[in-house]
Amino acid sequence: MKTGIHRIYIAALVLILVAVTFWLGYRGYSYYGTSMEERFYHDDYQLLKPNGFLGHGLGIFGSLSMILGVSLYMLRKRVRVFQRLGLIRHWLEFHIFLCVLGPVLVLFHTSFKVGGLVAVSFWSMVAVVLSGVAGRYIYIRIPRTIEGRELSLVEIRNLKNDLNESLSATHGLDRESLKDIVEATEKYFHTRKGIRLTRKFIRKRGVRRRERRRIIRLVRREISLNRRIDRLQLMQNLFRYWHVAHLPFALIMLVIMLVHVLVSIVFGYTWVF
Amino acid sequence: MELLLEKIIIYGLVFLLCLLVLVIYMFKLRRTSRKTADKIAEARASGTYEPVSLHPLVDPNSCIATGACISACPEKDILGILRGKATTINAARCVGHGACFHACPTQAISLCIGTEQRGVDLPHMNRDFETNIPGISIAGELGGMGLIRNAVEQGRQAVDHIVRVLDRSHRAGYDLIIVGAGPAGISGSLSAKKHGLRFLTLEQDSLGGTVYSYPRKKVVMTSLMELPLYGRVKMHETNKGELLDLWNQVLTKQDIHVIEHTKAERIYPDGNHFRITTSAGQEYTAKHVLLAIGRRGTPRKLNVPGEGTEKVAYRLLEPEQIRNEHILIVGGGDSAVEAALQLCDQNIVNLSYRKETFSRIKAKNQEKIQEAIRLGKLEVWFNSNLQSIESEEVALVNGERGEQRFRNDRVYIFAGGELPTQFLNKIGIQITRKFGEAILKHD
Repeated sequence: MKTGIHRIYIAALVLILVAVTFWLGYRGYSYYGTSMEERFYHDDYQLLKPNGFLGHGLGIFGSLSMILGVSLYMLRKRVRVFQRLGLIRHWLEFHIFLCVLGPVLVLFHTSFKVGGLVAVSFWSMVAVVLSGVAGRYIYIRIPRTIEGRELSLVEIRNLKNDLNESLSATHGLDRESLKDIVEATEKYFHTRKGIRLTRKFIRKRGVRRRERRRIIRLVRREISLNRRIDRLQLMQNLFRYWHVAHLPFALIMLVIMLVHVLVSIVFGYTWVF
Repeated sequence: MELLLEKIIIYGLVFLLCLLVLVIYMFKLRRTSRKTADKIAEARASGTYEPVSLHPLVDPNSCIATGACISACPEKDILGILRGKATTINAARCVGHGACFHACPTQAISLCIGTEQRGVDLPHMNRDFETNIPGISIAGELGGMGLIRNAVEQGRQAVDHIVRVLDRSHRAGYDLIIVGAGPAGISGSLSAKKHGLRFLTLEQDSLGGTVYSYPRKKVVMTSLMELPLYGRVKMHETNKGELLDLWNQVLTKQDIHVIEHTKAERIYPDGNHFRITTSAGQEYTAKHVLLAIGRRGTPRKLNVPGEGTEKVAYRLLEPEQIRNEHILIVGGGDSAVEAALQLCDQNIVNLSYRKETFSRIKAKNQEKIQEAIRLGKLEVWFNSNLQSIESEEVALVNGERGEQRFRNDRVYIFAGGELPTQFLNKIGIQITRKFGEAILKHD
């Protein structure tokens, strides 16, 4: 698929997703906004209740969409015959599309009322979607963001070095005092308290106000970057386990969903067939 | 009360289900990781962990452990999952299908050549496969990319380019001389025939090329290949015999004669064309030269009487078909030892090595050969030299014992060889050593 066509493909998928969500939200806005007790008397009750024509259909199509999305992607990934069909990246995108569309339809099928045993399936579904998004989009961006932040950190350190040099030139600071300042700022760089201490320290050394402000600004930026990097590393370590939520919960969702479907059939709920 | 109990039972069961699924998943994850770690340790011991030339490189930052690369790879245990990331196991066994590269949905894999410690020599080529010497082109494995499909494609493209730039008013005997009749050379020959060139194909050994030195019978092809004057070849999994039949069939049909067992010894410019002298003593002139000689090089000969006979070979093909024969293997490197090990169960094998011990072989081979010697599966003659090869016997000169004669049906000589880089250097083609550069990567 060429880049242009691929963009159109992605745009089409996103458009379908947005349009379906928007239409369902718009169509059922009044019904879903009604309290649980009042819904029975609402005009759309017969249509939008979970076993209503549209509500029930949404559940069926939502489930089918997820099952199809998972099985197609798995077949493409694991079965050799299918490995020649298109780029797997596009299949992953299609998997993401169907497995986001499915939960959206299921969400409207529940009519925003989740309870009972099937709620476990619903929340598993939510976990699967969220972990998928975390794994595919957030997790693999973190290292790049860290790299970016680290680059900024290097930049700041370079700036600091330049500043050190200019300080020693303009203030005629000898090597010792310069070393003291650098060491002091390094030491204090990780805490807010450090800023106050640095300020006090450099004031004592007779650094001019303008220079002082520049130093403090750099110190602030360095602290904030260091913190962000720490946070990102923590996130990376947490998100590493995204698939532990993705696959097992998908299985749990499927099992309970099947129980839910069987129970509905046993209780005599039918759709158009 | 009953209702509460019922609820507790139902939710308890669901909770147990969740817990069970999670525990099983985590258990499987850890088991996969442990298995991969074991395989890596094994690969390190047998010397296949470090890549030799082409190999996949996984960017751990982009990998989301979908496992698609592992199921796409037609080879076994090249990649595995370790602690939630794909990693290489037997990188040295990668033959460069590139299936993992295309299979990864997050584009975390690139195909690299060489490593930081171990460089791989690659000749300089432009996009039209021409080297720094105008008129000499390179196609196939020698250029860095393995695989039959790539070789076929490059052979075709290189000749197509030659046709575009060919000045037909030259005085050389041929428009093009193709050196090597492996997939690239054959495809180049077919393409030359298609364009009506006056050309000649030389092969130092016999038709087929590197594919025939693969350690197994099975040859896997990941995609279709387009053979000039033949069309699409749809073979996803084939064997060496079938492939040879295909080459013979197309070449016969197109009336192309490959001059086998003739090595191009020297190639040098002469006026505005090239002069090629061969091991058979002939001399040819050509306007263009296409080198499709692979990376194996030329096996070193021992120059002993009888070495030219048919029973002598420099590589082991289809060992499973050789049974109940008296075999002599000459050499003490990994290939000699591996060949001896492959043959010793079904044949009577003698191994002759001119040194005192096997000193430069992989630990695993060392272990296996010692075990085979202990069990009496084969005889190893250290400090011995091959004296002569006769129709039913061979003679060794063995240090203190003097001459020894053995009954013999086949002789395999693994005495190293001249690398193609030396040959390229002699021609004057520039070569660069690549240390892990990506030759196939996503933008």
